[in-house]
Amino acid sequence: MSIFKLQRAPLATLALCLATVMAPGCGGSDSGGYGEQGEGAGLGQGGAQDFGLFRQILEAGELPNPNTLDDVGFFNEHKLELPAADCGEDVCLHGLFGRMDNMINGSACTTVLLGMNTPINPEDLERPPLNLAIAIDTSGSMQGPNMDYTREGLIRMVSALQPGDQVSLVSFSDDAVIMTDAAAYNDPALSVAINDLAPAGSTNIYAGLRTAFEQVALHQDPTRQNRVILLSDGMATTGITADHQLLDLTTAYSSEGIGLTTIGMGTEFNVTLMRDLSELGSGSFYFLEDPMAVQEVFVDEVEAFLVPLAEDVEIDIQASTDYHLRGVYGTKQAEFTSGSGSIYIPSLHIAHRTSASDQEGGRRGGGGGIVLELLESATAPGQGLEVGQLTLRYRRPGTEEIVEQHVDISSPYGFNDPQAFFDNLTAEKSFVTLNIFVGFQLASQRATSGDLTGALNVLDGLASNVRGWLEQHADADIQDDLRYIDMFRDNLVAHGALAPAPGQAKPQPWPQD
Amino acid sequence: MSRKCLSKATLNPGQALLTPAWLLSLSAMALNDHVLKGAGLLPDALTGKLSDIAGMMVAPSLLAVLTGTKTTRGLLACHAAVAAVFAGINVSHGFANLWSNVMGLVGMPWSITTDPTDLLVLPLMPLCWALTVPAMRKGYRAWHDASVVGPAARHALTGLGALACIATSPPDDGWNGEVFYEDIQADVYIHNSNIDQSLTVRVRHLKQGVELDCADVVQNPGKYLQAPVFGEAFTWTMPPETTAAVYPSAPSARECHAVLLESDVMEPAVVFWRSDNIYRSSVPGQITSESQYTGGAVIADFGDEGELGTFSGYTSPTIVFPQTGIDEETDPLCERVDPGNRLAWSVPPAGSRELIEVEAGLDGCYAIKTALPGQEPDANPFYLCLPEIEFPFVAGDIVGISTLHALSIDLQSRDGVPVEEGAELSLHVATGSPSYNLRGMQISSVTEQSCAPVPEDECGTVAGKVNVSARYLGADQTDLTLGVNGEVVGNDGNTATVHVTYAEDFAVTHSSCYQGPDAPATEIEFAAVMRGPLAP
Repeated sequence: MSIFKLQRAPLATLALCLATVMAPGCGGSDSGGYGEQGEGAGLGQGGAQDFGLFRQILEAGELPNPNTLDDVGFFNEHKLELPAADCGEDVCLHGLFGRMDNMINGSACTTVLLGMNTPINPEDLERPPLNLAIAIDTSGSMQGPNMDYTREGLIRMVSALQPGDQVSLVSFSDDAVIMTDAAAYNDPALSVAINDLAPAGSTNIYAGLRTAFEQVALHQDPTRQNRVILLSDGMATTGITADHQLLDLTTAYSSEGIGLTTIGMGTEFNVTLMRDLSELGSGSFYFLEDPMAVQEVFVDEVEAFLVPLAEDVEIDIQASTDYHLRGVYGTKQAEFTSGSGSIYIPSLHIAHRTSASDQEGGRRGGGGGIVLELLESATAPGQGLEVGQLTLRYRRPGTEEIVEQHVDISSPYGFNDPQAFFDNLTAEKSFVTLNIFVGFQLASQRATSGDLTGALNVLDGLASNVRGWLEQHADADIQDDLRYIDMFRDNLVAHGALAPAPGQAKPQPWPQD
Repeated sequence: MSRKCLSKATLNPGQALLTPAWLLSLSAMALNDHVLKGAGLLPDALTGKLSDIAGMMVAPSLLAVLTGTKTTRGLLACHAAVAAVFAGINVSHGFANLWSNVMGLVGMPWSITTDPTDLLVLPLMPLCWALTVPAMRKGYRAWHDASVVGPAARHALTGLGALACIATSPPDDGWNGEVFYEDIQADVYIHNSNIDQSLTVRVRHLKQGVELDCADVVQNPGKYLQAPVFGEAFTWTMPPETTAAVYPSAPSARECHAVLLESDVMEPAVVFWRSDNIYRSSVPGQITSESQYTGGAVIADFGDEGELGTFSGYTSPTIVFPQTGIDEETDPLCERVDPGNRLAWSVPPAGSRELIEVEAGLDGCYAIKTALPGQEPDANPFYLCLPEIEFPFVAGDIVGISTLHALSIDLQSRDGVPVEEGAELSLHVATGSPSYNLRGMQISSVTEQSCAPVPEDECGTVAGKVNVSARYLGADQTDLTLGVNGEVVGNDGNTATVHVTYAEDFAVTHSSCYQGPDAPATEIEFAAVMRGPLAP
């Protein structure tokens, strides 16, 4: 997926642009859509936008825990250029086949990159005004720096609001309180409410999140970005505390076009829940171990650009009888068995970040993709030429119209002629990205359990293979990954890892069947 | 020998150090320990015993010199002490550990192979006495000229003897001889059975919050204990032939225990055992023979070139199970219940309340705002998440709310008219218990015997299907289907709509990850809307 620089369009054209975005098949063109080769704009994959915490730990000379590495965030830092968005619809589905020996222990590996893009040009659009609700945890644990930095971040955000923006501020502890109801961008009540945030009591996330969603729904407007930001530093301790109820709540409002970004402060919050909520809400997830970082986040978020293009999105995966579906990476919303799988995404947004801090020298939010990992079937009656089929089904926003697309995936080489092959360079890059992600995962699992030499053994082979790949293919993302692989290796040695014995067995990177 | 004679200071042990027998023994011991052992020049059995025999000659006299013994009684004590230590280290791994540690305090830890057959040299002790004690007595005619070989020589021999006895083996580095591995305390332990290669193995214990129904899990531990129930790993790198306890310190009290073993060169395996079958005891730190195995042995056998090895149990029935996936097809009738459709509610105000607002959210949860009748409404609503069942109340109703055992809401008046007997309406939302008796309606559950428990891969819980039914006293039974409204009719005009949201019988629970009981049990959950002349 691509990163695009926003160019401000005259306000008068905004309605027209949005109308164009919402129109069926609006972006389709003979040339295949937006982009230098008509490759189209990327569609926002919600959830973690980076693996920044993992990188920070390595840069500090430490050994990261596997929990700090998220596949969605990792893939979002890798720019994957999809083929032209020339399907004639607002959303185009692609399935790109690849097969090669994996980069960790060399066993055969088959992947399919599943990506979606749109022919719509976000440069033609000005950021729509916001209908935003911010739910702030004001439980007792927020007392002190957490609340001080949050107030500072919110004050900065107020300065970044634009004419037309409206913000509801909701605080929650034992219960939820509406501090401002759709206050205009320059309403002094906003600043007063921010100063009145007072931590005390327990953490009723359900009440805070539901109240915020209801505030946005109350003022929902298709010409605005209708979104919620949730900030918390802890677990839900009162009210309805079950994760699935919070996920159901987010799914329900996301299906109505209301997005959700989540911010977790410190280390005591429910990382999995906050990450999943943001993915269901097609928003970002921020893991702020240092509360000071929250000062920048609100500004980043009000400058972000999120317009829903599709709702109730379902992707069905059907493997042929020659393959088993063994893993799905790059999404938390997949359910699968060996022969088939499905992914449900409440809404898809055209993704476009404008924050300078996201662009300068960073890779954050730069890409995204879902990678299927397949295993050859023992019987394989078709010899592996037919790989499977993808089906995309979604509802146009604001209508009941269902759009459906099918993509067949095949391999030019059968199992009796198992040559390395990729549909294109993007498929190959996604293959390398998956190998690096799994290598980091295996190494951090081993390092955390004290097996430093085992971790080094994984990364030594991976580094060698990635270096070899880079000699044939210049790629800034993978080059940067290699820097972190080497940094991880150095850290392991500094922590006492011994050189692996020559010929020491490498682990199987994929889950056991 | 009289008591007086025993205690009379008449002996000079230093003279024994100059006897040919003692000198020869000292030389043999030093040569054997530092040259012959491990060199392959002599059979291991011979070098193993040679030092024992020589030590038996050297040590008692040397101990007598070092302790300044002058009496026969003291000399007997020296011989007895040497015999006791020698016997101790050859029959007890624990004593051998202790002795090695004691010698370690002077910088010379011993490498000890506990071998009861070494006790065969103990009968040589009287021979040692016969060869050395006479030389200690006055009037002994030495083979040497005392004017030439004086106290300096005896002091030097004392030092050499002490060094030879303490430094029984050379340093480990670069030496091919025996290396001592301390005994371990273990119930279940891993043994690296390879004689050449080290093994790195990661051991994962059950997480806090995971509870097992041992009788169910034992049916198929490799399937029922999936990775999510195990915590972070700790790693052992085990030299050839060594052992390592899966629990270095005693595990917390459980009826049964389980660990997951992972290694880059071995197939993953679950080890499962009942705590009343295998007890914690001393296990050799190094095992060279099958006869040394105990019931808790888990043997790691390396695979052939390019293939993964396997863990196996020593005892039968085995305690080691290959970890299998959970992908095998499950009979659709036995599939797990979707955990996402559970009931939930926040703490409501109790007592008689007026419903001010009843607002259904997009997620199916109601926000219900109440007030004490005739007073200002509460500032905040309470929330109630129901399945697809009709919420039987509207704003303006006066209801009685109770949270004793379950959330119960009873209609008291509607449109200002108190509800008369025979027209009651109530909602019961219950969770957790396998059976209920609600105003004359019995709801009960039975585990489906034709369905084996099924694991799930997110939290690792394992549960089996439960059938739920309801009936009013004296009326027909209604079998209830999960996720579907069931109508239950009584003989006295009572009716109920019952919606079961959850019913499972747990074999493995994971309270910190999965909503359900804290320990293996049956859990059913339902909402019931009841109408009619309800029993009190």
